[in-house]
Amino acid sequence: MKTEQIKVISIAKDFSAYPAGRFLEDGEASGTAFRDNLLIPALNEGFDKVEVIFDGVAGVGSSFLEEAFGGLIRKTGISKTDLDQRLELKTNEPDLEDFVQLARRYIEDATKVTAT
Amino acid sequence: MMGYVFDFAVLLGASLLAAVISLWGNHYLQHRVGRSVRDADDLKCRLYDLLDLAAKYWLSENPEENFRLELEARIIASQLIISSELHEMKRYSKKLQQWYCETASNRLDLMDAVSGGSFQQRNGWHRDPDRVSRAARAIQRIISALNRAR
Repeated sequence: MKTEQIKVISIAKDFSAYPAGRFLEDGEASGTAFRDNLLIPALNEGFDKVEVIFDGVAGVGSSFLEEAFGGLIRKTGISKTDLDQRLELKTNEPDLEDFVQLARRYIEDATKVTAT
Repeated sequence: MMGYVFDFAVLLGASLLAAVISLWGNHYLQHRVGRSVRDADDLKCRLYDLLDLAAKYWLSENPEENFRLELEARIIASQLIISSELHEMKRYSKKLQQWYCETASNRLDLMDAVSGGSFQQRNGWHRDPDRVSRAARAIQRIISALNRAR
């Protein structure tokens, strides 16, 4: 039986505890940097699933979330169905649940815009 | 005679116990209700403070980037504190738990409206009053639902 290969990305540990900004010129912790340097490579590396862990971040700007996760749909053209199966956004910290929900909403919104 | 004294003592003991339990229950309930009212009032103040920060940010004519970056950092920190307090509120009662679930989309609208500013102004700063209106609408919905749930 094949075991599922999972890549875990902790935003706070592997990227920044203060993720903010949309574009590269907005700073090192921008949504573009996270998406292009961590998220897309992880999805392309052939893992069955990529888990993004929000624990430990000190809040997240909506520009970061929109560019990292909404931008993932726009930039890669990956389908929502594929993303639902392969990308999991998680947190064990109740205070961060809304940030995770907002990231999911941006994926939904980008899917709708891309579809039209 | 001894039987009557024993019965009386048992009755007295049971009454005292019932009184103590009732007093403790009443005190606990009042403490809990009082705390939830205080926390709800604190939460409202924080939401209005966040709206104030968002208004300063989105209605500002100040072209200085540092001014906006500082405000944006304060907005993100404020969101995190509010998120934590909202989560605490839902523990007080089933009604508040329901309120928390029902206002989920309003909370996301609020988060979407208030932050992300200076970073989204790639071609120079411009004011965006619509952001403040959206934030105010979301806050108004969260608070009116909270008032109904209390």
